[in-house]
Amino acid sequence: MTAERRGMGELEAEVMSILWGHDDWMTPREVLEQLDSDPPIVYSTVMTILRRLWKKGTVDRRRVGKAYTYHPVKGEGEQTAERMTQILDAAEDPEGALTHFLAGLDAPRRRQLRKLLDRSRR
Amino acid sequence: MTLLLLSFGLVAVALPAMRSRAIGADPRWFARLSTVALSLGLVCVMAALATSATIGALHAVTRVADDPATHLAPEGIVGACVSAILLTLMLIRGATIALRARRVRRDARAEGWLGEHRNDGSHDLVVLPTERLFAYSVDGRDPQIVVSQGLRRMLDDDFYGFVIDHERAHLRAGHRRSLLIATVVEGLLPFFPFASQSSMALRVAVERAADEDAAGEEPARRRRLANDMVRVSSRARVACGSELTVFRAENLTACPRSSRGGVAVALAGLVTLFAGALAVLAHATGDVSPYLALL
Repeated sequence: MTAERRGMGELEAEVMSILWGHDDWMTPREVLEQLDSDPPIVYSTVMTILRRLWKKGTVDRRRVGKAYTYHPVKGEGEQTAERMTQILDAAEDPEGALTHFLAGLDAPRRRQLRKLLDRSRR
Repeated sequence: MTLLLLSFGLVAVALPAMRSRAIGADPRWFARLSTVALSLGLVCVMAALATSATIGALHAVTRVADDPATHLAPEGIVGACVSAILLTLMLIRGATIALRARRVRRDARAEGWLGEHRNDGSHDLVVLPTERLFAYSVDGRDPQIVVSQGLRRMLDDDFYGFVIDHERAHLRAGHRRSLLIATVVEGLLPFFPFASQSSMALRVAVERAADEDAAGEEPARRRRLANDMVRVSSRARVACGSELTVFRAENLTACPRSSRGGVAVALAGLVTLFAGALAVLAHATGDVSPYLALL
């Protein structure tokens, strides 16, 4: 299960790299032909990845005949910069309940912390 | 009865703040018991408000409380209205905090195409292309440990391994749930001073627990990690800075201790508190049933 999920993450990266490398809209078949993976990837896997990327809003799609064609919503640089900003905001959100190695605290929480540490050292 | 249940709840919420000296000695147990105490406390407070609102509403419907003085009692009509309003506000605020935490967790997860990914069996290790210094973990179906390239470059292999083990310990112990409970308690009981202190105690205990899991028991390595932690923190200039890092480093330098006695006492106290709250709730249900029969 884990290997399959890892595969999906890696494939997602490869698929995005292919889409970013082409100016035109691409069908799943065209993406599959560009993929160089061992073991070989099947058509339905590429479809699943593209659908996931579309649901996340990373790629856009439009119908051409019976099939869909896909294109990245933003260029690689712009998309990466936007996600990095979101990630940094999320990582620093004190209400986010994320576990950090080096946690930042706002002023009221720092006061609470000082009080608590004073008491716990006594 | 409502007041008794409310008191049980508030005492449970205050317990971690009152016993904060135990964070240094046995942070794992402190984190677990504090999570239970805060959850139990919150449930008791909300149950008290719900009981007050329900009994007050039943009094109003069956017109039992005709004496205006009884309206002001917790189970009187005015008391019931206040309880219902407070309970509604708490539920809305709690849901808002939980949804925000969910959004943050979703945003913090790095997609396959972002950064370098490596699967370490139980989780995905992601190094993100930024010079900002951070490391965090995201739990869920596909857990991730995310480290910035800047932090990775700054650390030697041993301390980097410690950081990864620290985050892995958070994932294994489900510390995000504890932090979420701390955030909810802090947000729902802002006028109760012990709530924010207990939440902070739980946050510190969670970090200390992960430090203990990651550092192992070899004194020389613990001292080296403690020194590195202070050095990295001062270079990262995090806003919590010196206080929390120095506290964590001091405790890493000290030999690991165990306080079985303290844990047993705290556990017994929590069980007693829980049993008391259950007894009061059972009594409250007994009070409600005649009204339900009338209806």
